[in-house]
Amino acid sequence: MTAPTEARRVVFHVDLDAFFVAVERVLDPSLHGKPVVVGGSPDGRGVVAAASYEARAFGVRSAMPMARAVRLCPQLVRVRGSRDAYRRASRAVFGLLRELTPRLQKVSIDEAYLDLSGQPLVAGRAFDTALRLQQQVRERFRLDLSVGVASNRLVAKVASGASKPVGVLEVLPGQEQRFLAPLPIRKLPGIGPATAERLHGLRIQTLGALVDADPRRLEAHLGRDVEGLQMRARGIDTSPVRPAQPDALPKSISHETTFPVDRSKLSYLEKRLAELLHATASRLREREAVARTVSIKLRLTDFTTLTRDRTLPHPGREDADFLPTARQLLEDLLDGRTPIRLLGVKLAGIERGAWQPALFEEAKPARTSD
Amino acid sequence: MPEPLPRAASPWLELLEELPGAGVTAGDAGRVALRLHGVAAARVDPQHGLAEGDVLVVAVGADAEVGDLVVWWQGQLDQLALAEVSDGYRLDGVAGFPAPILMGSGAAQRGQAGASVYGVVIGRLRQLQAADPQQR
Repeated sequence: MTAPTEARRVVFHVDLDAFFVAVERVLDPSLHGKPVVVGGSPDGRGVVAAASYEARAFGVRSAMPMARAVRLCPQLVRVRGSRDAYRRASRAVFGLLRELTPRLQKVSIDEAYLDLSGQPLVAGRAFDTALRLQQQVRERFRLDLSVGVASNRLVAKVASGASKPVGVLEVLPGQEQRFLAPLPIRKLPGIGPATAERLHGLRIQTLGALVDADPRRLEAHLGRDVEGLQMRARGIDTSPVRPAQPDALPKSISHETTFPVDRSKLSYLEKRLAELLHATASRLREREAVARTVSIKLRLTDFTTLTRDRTLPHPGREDADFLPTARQLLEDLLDGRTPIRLLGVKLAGIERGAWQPALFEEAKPARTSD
Repeated sequence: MPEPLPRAASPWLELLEELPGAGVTAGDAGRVALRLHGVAAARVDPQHGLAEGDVLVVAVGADAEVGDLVVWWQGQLDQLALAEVSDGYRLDGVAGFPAPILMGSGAAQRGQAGASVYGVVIGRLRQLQAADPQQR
C-alpha cells in the first residue's frame, strides 16, 4: 500500500530547545535541573549566550550582562561554552532532519525550515511526523526540539515559538489568520521594535488589529510595504523553503569582541579593528571569495549600538583592501571620548573568487630604490 | 436543563488557564485552550489523530466551514465536545465524542436546548514530557 501524500503545503519550523545549554547537559549530565547559562565571566564584560528554562524562571535572558544574570539568580551555574561541540551537535541533528526531506533550509545553528509538501509522510499526517522527529532527536542525541507545523514558513515559525518547550503545534490549514489574530504584533517575524512602536502609536497591539487597520493610515505612519505587512499578518506567506547549495557562500562574515573594560582611545581601537578584520578576511580567503561591503559596529556603555557600512568600488580579499575603509568608518563613529564596549567588523556583498587588484594598481610602475 | 455528557462513556475537554504563546490568556473570551481527556487508544480518531492529552487551541464564536474541527456545547463549559463539520453542515462526532443533538431534532422537540458551535479548532499542541535526567 502506498503511503498517503499530503496534497497541501506543509512546512515545519524546527527549533532546538535551549540548544547550547542542552548540549552542555549532554556533555555534563550533572547540569540537569539546575539554572545554567552559557556565556562570559561576570567579572569581565561577559553576556549570557543561552539560558536554561530553570534560569529563565529567574528572569535570566540571552544577551543580558552576566553580572546582572548572577544578581538575578545567585545559584546560577555558568559554563563557558564550546562552539565546536555545538557545531557538531547541530550537524548531527540536521543530518537526521535531511533524512526526512532534502528541502531543508538551515537558518541558524539550532533552527531550520523543512518543506514536506507532497511528501509521502509515513502515517499521512504532518503532526505525527513532527512528533516522531521530536522523539528520534531525543533518543539519538538526547536533545529536545520544538516544531511548528503550518502551511507556510511564517506561521510555522510563530507556531514553533508557541509550542515551546518540547512541543509540536500544528496550525490547522485555513486557520492561519485566526491563529495569528490575538497575538501581539511583535510575534510576527519582520516586525521589529521601531515598527512596533509606530503601530502602538496607532493603538494597534495585535495582529488582528493590524489586519483590520486602514492601509492608507498605516502607509502614512510606516512608509513601507503595508500590503505585504497586512498579508503576513493574515498568515499569508508564499516564500519558499530554500535548501542551501552545498557550496553556497554566506551573505556576510563577521567578528566582534567585547572589551574587558570600556575603551575610547583610537590607537587601541584601531589595533583591535585590524585584528578583527584579519580574522574576518581570513575566513573570506578560506572560501576563495571576495567581498564588496565593509561594516563596523560599536556598542557604547549604555548598550546603544552604532553601525556604519561602505561599499568599495572593487571587491576585495586582502586585509589591506578593507582596512583603510574600516579605519575611516571607525573614525567617523568615534568622538574620542565616548567609551566603547564592543567592536565588530562585517564583510558583506560576498561573491565567488574573481578577485583582482584594481586596474590602476596593476598599471602602477614598480618602485625602484634609487 | 440539558444533561451533562456522561464522562464515563465519553472523552471530555478540560479548559486550561492559559497558553501564552498561542495567544490564550486567562480571561480572554476570544480564545481558549482545551485539553483532551479520556480518549482510549481504540478511539483515537483515524482522520485527525487526536490523542489523550492533546491541547486544542479554539477560536470562540468563529464561523465554521465544512471540514473544520469544531467544539460544540449546550451552553455549559463542562459539556464541550468535538465534532467535524461535514457536507451539509452536519456535525459528526470525532475521537469518541458523540454527535450533537441539534435544534429541530427529537431532543429539541422535547423542549431541550439544542447544541451549537462553541468555537473552531485552529491548532493543536502536544508536548513531550521533559526528559528524566536520571535516564540520560
